[in-house]
Amino acid sequence: MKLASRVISRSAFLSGAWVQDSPLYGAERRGAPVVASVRIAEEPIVERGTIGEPDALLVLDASLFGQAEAAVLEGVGPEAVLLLNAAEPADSLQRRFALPGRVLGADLSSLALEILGSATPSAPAAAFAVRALAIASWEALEAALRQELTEVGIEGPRLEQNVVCARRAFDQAPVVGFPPQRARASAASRPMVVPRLPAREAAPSILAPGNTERRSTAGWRVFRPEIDLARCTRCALCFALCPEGAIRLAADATPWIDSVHCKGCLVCVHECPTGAIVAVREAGA
Amino acid sequence: MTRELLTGNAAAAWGARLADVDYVPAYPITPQTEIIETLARWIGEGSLAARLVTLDSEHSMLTAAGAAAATGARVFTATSSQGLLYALEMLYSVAGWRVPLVLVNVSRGVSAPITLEPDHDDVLAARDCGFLQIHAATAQEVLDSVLLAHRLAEDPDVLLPVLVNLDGFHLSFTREPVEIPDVAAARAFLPPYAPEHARFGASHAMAQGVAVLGGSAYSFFRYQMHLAAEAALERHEALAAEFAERFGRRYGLLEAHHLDDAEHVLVMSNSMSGVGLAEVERLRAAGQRVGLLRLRVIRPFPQQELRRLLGGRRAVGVIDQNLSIGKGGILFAEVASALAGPGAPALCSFVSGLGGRRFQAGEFDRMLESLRRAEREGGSPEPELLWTDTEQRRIGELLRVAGRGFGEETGGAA
Repeated sequence: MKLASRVISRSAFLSGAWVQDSPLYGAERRGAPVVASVRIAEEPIVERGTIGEPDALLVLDASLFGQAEAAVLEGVGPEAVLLLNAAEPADSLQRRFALPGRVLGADLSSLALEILGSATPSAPAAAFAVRALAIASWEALEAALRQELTEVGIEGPRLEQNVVCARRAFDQAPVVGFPPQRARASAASRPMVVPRLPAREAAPSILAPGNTERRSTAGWRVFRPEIDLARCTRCALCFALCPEGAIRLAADATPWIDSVHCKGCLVCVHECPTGAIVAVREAGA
Repeated sequence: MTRELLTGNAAAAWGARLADVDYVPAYPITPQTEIIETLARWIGEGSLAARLVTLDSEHSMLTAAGAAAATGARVFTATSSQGLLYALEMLYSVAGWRVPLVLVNVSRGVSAPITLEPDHDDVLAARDCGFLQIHAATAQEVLDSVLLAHRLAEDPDVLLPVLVNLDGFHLSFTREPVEIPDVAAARAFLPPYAPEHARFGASHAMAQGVAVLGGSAYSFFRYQMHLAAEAALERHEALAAEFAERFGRRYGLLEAHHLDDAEHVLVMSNSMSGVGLAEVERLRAAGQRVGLLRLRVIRPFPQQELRRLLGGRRAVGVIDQNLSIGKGGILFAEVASALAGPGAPALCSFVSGLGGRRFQAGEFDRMLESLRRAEREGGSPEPELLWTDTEQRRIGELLRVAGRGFGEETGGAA
């Protein structure tokens, strides 16, 4: 997401615009949602910080719409343009999640898997957004892509594959441009005086027995591991090496995978000595 | 001169590179780490001839920085938040040694509760230690301020370390176009540091002793630091004028926007003043005579300049992105003391942006209403935390998830 935002802003920068890009993330961990903001203007930009009311929203993981705490649609008004990376058709997603605005979709993860061999759609996502929002020409985008990817150490054949992937996304994007008026979310907050809580309740602490097991991390997966028990020798290596403790053993050492807490890192797939664990793409990931 | 997209952190590193620093003691902390990573890469590539040493803590880092500066080396270092607080003891010591060095602080709210996003409780905890403080609002200003800070710190009339502050995330990780000065132009503005009084080498061994016992001598030398800091007001203006002549960018002790005919003025600091400027310009377009004043050099505190710019206004509101627990906004208190006396404007104190909290729609309109009310009814030193029903509802949800009730009497959903 951060890389995609940087490619988008540099495309505009190379086209003569004033730009600003900024990622926002909490404690870094694989699978945690990340948001990045890009501002593009004809004059120097004085505003900063996360954009509260975006004119356009690029969503790389449509499953986040189903997670209330991700608050993906906060501040997104009816004039906004939504660009979604999803295998599911855009109109279907719009109905399912009551998405506001003009919604365009593309299956960029599958494109990345086909060309790059990994579900890392930063380059095609940036290209899709640059074309759909009419931010810059292909030439500016390609120059931006080459510079930004080189800066993060993507070079040689991998860089060329990303350029090919971006070109495919660029060519398939319909050009809609930014909305003619600045998008505004309708719901306004009202000011209030902060109430004082009783002192014993006012600390930001949770005093309770461990509860992390109640949090599903299944949505973090692009691929899920599946065990072919016919080829499994019950060696227990997967059980020992799973970094999440999400593989358990039955009394006879037969492994099973806790699909609520498996994050899809695929360490087990790589480590299984008999190749009994295979990666299966999650629907919608 | 090159024009490039740089984060605030990269701009800080460029400042150190163009200052041709000799020594960089380092310790990582989010959101500062990118600065020392960038310098380490350049040193590895050979594009910066400096020595970077990783220390075991920020306390050691500042000790090493001060010791190196005492030998005549040009020293740059950086930290953030808890790291700055951990180094606090040494900030006082190093400043008392009267050695010049530049410390970048990337502001981050202090724990607990924990956050990675910015407010200024960290940097303002260091406001009394003898480090001068320049608070930057853009990536360009970060780069330029690091160059200015080295010149100011090394000025024979000053000889105090300088802290350059930039906001985490909103500036540290935010890229924007920055003009990178040519090496030759930077060298002309900031020649190599070669102090006559502090030389150290194989054939020039020296020891530095800083020992004073007793109140009179202690008072004398501490007050010398204060006088040097006051002298830095004038020196900063002279250096800023020279900088403007060479680079075309002028930095004041304070940065005034739309003050000419302003009846009401909001006072802010650091990068969120950009949001304030956009809001003030929106209010101006709607016919309001409102202005914005950004505090840039906070130590020394430009009291006379502040009185000159704000005396006679109808009302002044200070928006503090910090909170002195049990008092309120720190900069409000400083501004209020500078303006005290006959003809002082009515004053309001607002607190917003703690831990990176964003301004909500309509809040600048409401602050202007508060200023009008203060003008009619008199101001108040009581802080007002900007807060909305939407945020309150979200806190209620979090408390429910945490297994806490959130009673009607405190739920307050308007």
